[in-house]
Amino acid sequence: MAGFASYQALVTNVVGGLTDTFGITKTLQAPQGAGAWYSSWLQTGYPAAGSNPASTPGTSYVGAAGSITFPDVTPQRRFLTQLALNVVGQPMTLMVYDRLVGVGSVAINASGNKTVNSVALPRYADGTGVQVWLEAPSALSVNTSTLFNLSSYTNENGVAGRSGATIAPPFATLPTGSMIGPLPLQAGDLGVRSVEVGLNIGGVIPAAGTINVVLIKPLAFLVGISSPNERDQILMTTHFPRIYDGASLGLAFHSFSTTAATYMGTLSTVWG
Amino acid sequence: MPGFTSYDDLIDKITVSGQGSTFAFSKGPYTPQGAGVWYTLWTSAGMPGAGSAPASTPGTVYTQAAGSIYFPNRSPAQTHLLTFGAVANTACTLLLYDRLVGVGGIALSPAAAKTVNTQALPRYSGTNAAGVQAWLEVTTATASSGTVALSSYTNESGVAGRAGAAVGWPFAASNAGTMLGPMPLQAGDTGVRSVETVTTATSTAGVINVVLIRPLVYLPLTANNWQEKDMVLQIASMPQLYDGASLGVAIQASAASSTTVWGQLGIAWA
Repeated sequence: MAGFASYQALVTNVVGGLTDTFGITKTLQAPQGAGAWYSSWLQTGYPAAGSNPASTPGTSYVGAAGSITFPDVTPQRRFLTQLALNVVGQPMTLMVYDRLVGVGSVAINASGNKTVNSVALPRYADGTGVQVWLEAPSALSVNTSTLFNLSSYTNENGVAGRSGATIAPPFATLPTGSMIGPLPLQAGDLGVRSVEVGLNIGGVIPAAGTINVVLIKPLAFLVGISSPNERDQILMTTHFPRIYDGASLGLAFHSFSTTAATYMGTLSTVWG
Repeated sequence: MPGFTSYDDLIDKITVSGQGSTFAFSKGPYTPQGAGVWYTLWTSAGMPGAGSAPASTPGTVYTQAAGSIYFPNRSPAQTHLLTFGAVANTACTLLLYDRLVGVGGIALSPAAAKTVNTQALPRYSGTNAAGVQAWLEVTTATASSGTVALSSYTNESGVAGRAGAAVGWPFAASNAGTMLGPMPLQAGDTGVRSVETVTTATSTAGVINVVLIRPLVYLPLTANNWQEKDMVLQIASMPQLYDGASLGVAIQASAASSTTVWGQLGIAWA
């Protein structure tokens, strides 16, 4: 029987060595401003920098290079049990997410619907809670009146042709890794299985550039400050999300200022 | 027997039975009119998508409503809220609530008693209406300050014809999205089963919704810093999310600055 029947059962597995800890360190790009999200996917550190996803139909992330990965444990189950973070440079909010699918090289220098046609989700197959974000593969010059929206996606119930409201970039200049999202969904929807044709560009159109469309499942968040902050996901907060086989964990941060930063930390799991 | 018998049982249900999940949400941007006032994010874009204004009287009953955060029905099992966390780009306080019923299209002009006649509560019915609050949501901006009151409502014990004190709008002209509430109740009352009329004392332009909600959890935020509340071990409350719950988010702003909220809530059922 996979899982833990009690806290004692979990402790027994920890003592028995059925635990993995992943040490994290990333050098972050200097944010353009406060209050925006930035992906660490392309940043150097540990894990090493990932690569931009392939063009349509994109990349399915399964134990992907550049992500935090763990060995498969099926028929047992793995759960997140600890997060720790220490930041030098600026306080931040860290998001740990499972990077599911990415479609790269989506041109944003012309208005209209762009083909995405993302591949099937490798995990969270029904799409409930799966979010769509835009990720800058390189530094971009856009406009705060550039408007993005999902013009055709399939929701968590398998209904195609759904569309959501527009969203604008937080700044006109987007450093590499800047994230915009989650892209708004149609009323009544709670997730995304896939994005078809797909991403609409409107408003003030950028002169050049491409963007990545990534589908992710947020798992946990932690505030980072200049002193070590550690959280037990079992006894300090009742939040121990499952880490599925093949999970490709990525990191993103929500900025507090324009100061470049480095963060270090650990992420622990237990399986049983 | 529904519910959790112990913390060990909670761990078992989540890890062995898979009876737990999280939902990450985002709402905004929304620009508040001023500090110290509540604003609804019901009609803001995001994940979930924007909700719609309620219908005119007798209004709308919210059951797993489009625009809300909702979960599958689990009866006879019970779903409980375990954690609620968020970060916003401005300092604010979040309110996570269960949106029960609403009546829209209530014109504030002329000054008079306005027919509301909300429908029966889909959850927290009968005496469980203790803790159900009535709020006003501005959908068309008001033009001048004035007061408004619940002039006839039915309290948690089913006593009709109750009336609460009048309360003034926060601004001379309150923009769409502004919330006013919770509307004062008559002395001795602790909840609202239905609202029959609201009365405006000053004729002013503007259109409002009357919504009945059940607050679940408040979360104060400083700008750009994640805060998370655990409702099992930190503040033992574990609010139940009844089948059909339609969760919405409101903010109390600290400034008239564009605000976007990103958050996550965790649940489990047994």
